[in-house]
Amino acid sequence: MSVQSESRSVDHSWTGGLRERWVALLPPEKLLPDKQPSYVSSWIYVFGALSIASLTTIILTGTILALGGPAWWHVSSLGHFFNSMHLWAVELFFFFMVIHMWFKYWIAAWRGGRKRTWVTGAITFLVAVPCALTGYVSQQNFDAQWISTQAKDAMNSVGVGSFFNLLNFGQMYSFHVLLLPAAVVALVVGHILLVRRHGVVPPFELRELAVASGGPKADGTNGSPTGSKPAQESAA
Amino acid sequence: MGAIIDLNHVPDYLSWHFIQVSLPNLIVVIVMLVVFAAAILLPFPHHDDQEGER
Repeated sequence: MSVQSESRSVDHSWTGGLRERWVALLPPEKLLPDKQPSYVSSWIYVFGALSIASLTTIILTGTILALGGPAWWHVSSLGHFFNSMHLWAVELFFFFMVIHMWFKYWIAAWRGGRKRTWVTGAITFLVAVPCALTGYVSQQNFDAQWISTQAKDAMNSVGVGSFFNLLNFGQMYSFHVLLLPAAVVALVVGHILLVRRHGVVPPFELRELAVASGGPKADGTNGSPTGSKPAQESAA
Repeated sequence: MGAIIDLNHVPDYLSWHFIQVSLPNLIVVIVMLVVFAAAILLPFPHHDDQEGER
């Protein structure tokens, strides 16, 4: 068999077809870029990466805590240390993620075919909330008992308490250490791949803002290329 | 070593109509707003050879 025919047979296999499709969707230079647009040179663009750094710390410290079990941090100073790291990484994760979302909302980050990027990010936030809640009820202390009974009432009031039972510690712990973290990580990976594929959303053009507000643009013209037809520019 | 701020007590709550928020939560929200504004306004360090893309 010649080299050419071997290569052709690879192309017809499902693995070869899948690889070609993936590379076409996300070429290596987009997956791991060594250049970024100049507009990302701002502190506000740092918060997505800070959220990922916090999530990484959460996963690492949570893995260590899982080795010792949910009550380990009550009886070990080392366990207490990693529990504190875990808690404060969660606090910072939400702190950074919410600022990241504020900015992406105000910049309308779903523009330019980036709807799925925005939606995966928003769903990540929504899934991260019960992930944190199940952690608070897994603390094995009075705080956890108080939170679980209060949250049980909330879940009962919306009709999901019989399935998502805050008083069932085994269920909450399983959700906290496996199901919800797996969902958050999967969503974040998908979110990052979409950011790589579509690129970081650019800021609004001054011309877009001027046309949207019906006023003149910053350079004194009315925003159209000819300087005379703002209505047509807006429609386009 | 004790904590810089003692968090082992019931926090103060602020109420305004139907809105109720604890003082620690309000402080965190204000800090987030300050960080958000600072991140937009503060200059980002640039390299001299940076043009268009980095």
